[in-house]
Amino acid sequence: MKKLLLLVCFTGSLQYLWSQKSSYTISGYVSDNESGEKLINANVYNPLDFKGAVTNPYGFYSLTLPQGKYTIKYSYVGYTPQEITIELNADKTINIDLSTAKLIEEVTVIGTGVEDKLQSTQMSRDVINMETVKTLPAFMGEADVIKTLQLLPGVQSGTEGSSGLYVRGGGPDQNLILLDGVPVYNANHLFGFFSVFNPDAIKNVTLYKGGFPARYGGRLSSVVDVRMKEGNEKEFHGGYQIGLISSKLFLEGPIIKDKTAFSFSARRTYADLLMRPFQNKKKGIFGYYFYDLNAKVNHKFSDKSRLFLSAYTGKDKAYYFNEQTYMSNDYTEPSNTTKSKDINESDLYWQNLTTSLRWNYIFNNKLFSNTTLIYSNYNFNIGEDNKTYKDSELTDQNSYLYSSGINDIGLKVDFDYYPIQNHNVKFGGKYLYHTFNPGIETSKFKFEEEKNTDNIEIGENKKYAHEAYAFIEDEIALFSNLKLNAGLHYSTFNVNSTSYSSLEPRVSARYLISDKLTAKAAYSKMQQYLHLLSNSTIGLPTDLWLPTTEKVKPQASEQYAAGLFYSPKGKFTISAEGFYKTMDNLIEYKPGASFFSSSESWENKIYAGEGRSYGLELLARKEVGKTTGWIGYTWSKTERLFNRENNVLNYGNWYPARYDRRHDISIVLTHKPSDRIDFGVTWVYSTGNALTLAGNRIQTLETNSNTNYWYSSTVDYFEERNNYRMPAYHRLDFGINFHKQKKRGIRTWNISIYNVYNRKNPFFLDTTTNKETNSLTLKQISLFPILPSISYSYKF
Amino acid sequence: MKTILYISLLALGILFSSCEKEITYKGEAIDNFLVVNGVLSNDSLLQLNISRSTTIFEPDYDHFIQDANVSIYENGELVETLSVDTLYNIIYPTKENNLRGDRYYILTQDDSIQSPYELNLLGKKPGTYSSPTFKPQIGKNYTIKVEQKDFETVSASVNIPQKANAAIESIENKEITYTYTDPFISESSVTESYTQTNFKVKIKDPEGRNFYQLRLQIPYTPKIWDEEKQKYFTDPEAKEQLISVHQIISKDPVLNNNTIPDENEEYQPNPYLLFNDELFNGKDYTLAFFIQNNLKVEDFSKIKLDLVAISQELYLYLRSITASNESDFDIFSEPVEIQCNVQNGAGIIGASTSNVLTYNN
Repeated sequence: MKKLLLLVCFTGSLQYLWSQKSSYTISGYVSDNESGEKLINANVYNPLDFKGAVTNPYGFYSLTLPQGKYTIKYSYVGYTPQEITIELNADKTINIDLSTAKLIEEVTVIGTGVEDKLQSTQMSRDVINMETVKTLPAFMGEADVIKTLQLLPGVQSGTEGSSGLYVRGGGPDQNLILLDGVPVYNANHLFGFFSVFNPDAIKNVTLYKGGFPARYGGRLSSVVDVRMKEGNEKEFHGGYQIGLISSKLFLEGPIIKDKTAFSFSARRTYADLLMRPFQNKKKGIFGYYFYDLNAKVNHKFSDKSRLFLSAYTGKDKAYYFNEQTYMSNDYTEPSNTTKSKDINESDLYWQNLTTSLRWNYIFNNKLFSNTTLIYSNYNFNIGEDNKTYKDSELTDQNSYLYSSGINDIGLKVDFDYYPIQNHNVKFGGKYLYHTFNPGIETSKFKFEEEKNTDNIEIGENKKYAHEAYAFIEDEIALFSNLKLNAGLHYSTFNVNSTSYSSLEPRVSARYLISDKLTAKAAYSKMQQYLHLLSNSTIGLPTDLWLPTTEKVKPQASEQYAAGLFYSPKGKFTISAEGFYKTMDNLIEYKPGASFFSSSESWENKIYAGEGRSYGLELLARKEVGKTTGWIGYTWSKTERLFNRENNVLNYGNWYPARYDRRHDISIVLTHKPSDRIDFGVTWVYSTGNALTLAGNRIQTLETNSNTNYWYSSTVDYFEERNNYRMPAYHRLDFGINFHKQKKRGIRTWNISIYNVYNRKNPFFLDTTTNKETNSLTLKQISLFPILPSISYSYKF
Repeated sequence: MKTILYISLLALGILFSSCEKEITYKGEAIDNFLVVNGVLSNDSLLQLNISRSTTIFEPDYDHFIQDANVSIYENGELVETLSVDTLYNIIYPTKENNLRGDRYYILTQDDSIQSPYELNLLGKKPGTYSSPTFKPQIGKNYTIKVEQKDFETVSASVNIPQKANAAIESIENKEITYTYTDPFISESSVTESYTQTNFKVKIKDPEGRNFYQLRLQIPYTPKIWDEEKQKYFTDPEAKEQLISVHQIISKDPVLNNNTIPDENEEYQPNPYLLFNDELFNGKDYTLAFFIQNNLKVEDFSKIKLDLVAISQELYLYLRSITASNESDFDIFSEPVEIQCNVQNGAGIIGASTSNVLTYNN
């Protein structure tokens, strides 16, 4: 490693001396010409030698070249590339607006995806644009960002329909999900069947599965960087969608043209409202809904300074309400009757709130800064409230509330520095102040005879923690065909006077074997200071976010990845990536433990162990033209080992993780024969999830004393955890969009069919006793049969 | 809380019109195997119980093995062979014999069918193999080998631990009085009391990891409820007997699975009263705990407090049995591995050496 760093420094110094002679810098923004939205990861390069730059998440680029005459090409997938010829004899600022490609221009459109995959040092990264998300078949008509990510190699879903991400053998807690740079702790709606990201509000999603750049940290397995739309700076636009389970509204436009813009979107389900007239009020009213609100405002003070304020809030709520009114008699004075009312309210809800205030400032054409104030809150609650009123006076009450969650406030500062040609340095830091609520139960009691209400609070106190990191990375073009991204990420975490720190090197390299073939390799070390305590039996939002403590160490991982990227005709890529990942200090519930009983300390309910994961991912992808899509295949193995003293699971032997799957296949196809119609088809196949099936019951040791009387004389016995596989999962979805230009906009009818051939996929397996034979049978519970859906949307 | 969760899950199920179907098991073949259970103690005659496992796809009945050959090896030398104590004629409920229930019955010599409870076989059920003379010795290694024609031969080895070095430091009674108001009974406060018996036991722990079990029995004379006087009275004909204590209370981490119990923490189930020396390895240590009971013990010399040194295998096995039983009714609980030491089969061959401690007032 030292030799490598020396080589990098030496080469950098030489380049610096050489470049000081007569180099100049071109910098600026690349934007969409209709909306002014900045384009992320757009390519800016010299087409002769492919040397160039990529726009950062705010659309800014900086390219330093020796004095001379150049043709610079600006390109972005789905947009018509632009070339400009310049005489470079001084620093220049060039802002470029790209226009979306018409179908007729298909031949000339070469997406950045292809170029980027070959040229970039970054591997294990996938960028999803929202057009793809909206064209693919949607579950219940709800286009979903996370579900689209699940179709990529190396990314697995949890159970049927869920939005959980299991990336390269990691758990759902090991994904850093960022919405405009703010961590989102629960990205699920409706118990995980939908994600919280409303595609109307999202501009771009980037997924990192490995080869993590030094600017990211705090999670082991993936980074999902979601960027919200900034809002149209030039014209007012909007739209709405009416679907089977939800409706959406989207508005964007300038507040001050070319200076201040906003975007706003809202979504709410209405199954609860539709069901209400059909419910018997005497038996109580049950309902479930979720909603999302996204809002963003940005203001350009000058070409150098821009401020963004973005916010997201979303909530899921299941509720039950029952009211009974009756006349009651006083048993001591039967003639006294009172009007009594019993009210029972139960609800279960969880909600996210994220806010960021971001300031982009360009110091000069080589130094770009981004400063962000961060706020994120997630909480989960279950409550029940029973009240009795007599003649409108509250006489009896007993209520119960379980509450858990996490709250973050922080500051992030990062810089993009382009000191000389062939170097792109990023550096910065972040500080987060976490407040953990590990689960508190509050009970209230009030009886008729008492005036006061008794409050009982059980559970752990809030925990407060400080997390900070600093990073530096440099993208260096060492030789004409060798490029390197080397970085260091240093993080520290402090909770209750216990501190941890970690120095994490990150390296990724790209070697151009030919102009069509690239080899890449990456190494990254990651450390995670947060744990998600989740039960393995069913995925519920009761999962608890908890800090590293003196007893529970931070999770850590090392990942090695290598791959080949081949682009035979420039329109599509074929890639093969292999990875090997080790993980340490993973946590699991100890045998027999359950997320119930918050009164037991969570630290006493868990074991710590390690994991390993390795696999091969193959991807053939076409991103441009009338027909786009990909075929992905993953072979992987993921195992866990818990064999520390008093932390033994599976008898101290390696065992398959719950989401260990040998094969995953996804075929994704979209076709757009004309502007009036487009359709998408997806087919997925994966090995069944692993579960623990106790194959035998055994007699227990009979002791004459010390045995609780309810203990059974037999117990379930299994020889290995996760020893049984559910049946394989496969499913075909189809979706079609019919567009029509209307007077003021475009209307779209979407018809989607989920699970076209009505495959009964396993959600979970259970055993039931056959009463006739007194033996057990295996029962499979499936969730979704064939589900057609329709939605109408209008955009102006 | 559970009710709300179940309602939510149920609603979710309805919302998405879930469906169920029976599926065929497609995994590795699930075979039966021998299950051997027994504890070798220096002060007891050797006794084992042998059964076979019941797979999930066959009727859930106890299957005892009555024709096994059991060999006992002491430090590698064969010292005794055992055969079944009593050969029972076991029958199971079928449609033909009109028997019901989920357990076995015994066909007696007079052709009557009786349940094991009627025959009072609780202490010596079928499949019991015992030696009339053999007692294991402290410090020696024993291997039990069980052969039966239909199953793979199984075996387990265990060392008989050294006697624990311990003494009772003190036992004392403490009257706890408390006042509460039960609005359903009376508006005025009620004062009640109970006796708390405090124990202090000093252990001299030898080097190396050691495992212990407390077996605590207190004297008790059966009482009868007098409806008229609304209180219990002692039956003059009843004899005093010793009853086992299943729960001791302590803030000592040693007696709480080596974790610091939280002020509000629920009682952690430890019905076998197990602990180890992880927190006091090789040192002198005083355990402090108490029992709450309505049976005030006046004569402490009648208390039987046995500080049993047990093998690690037995400790892990009993811990796993506790976890399995305690989580039986929670569908969200994690699976529990039963920590067995019988090779090619399942069950436990444990070892224990008792040390009954006495205390005079």
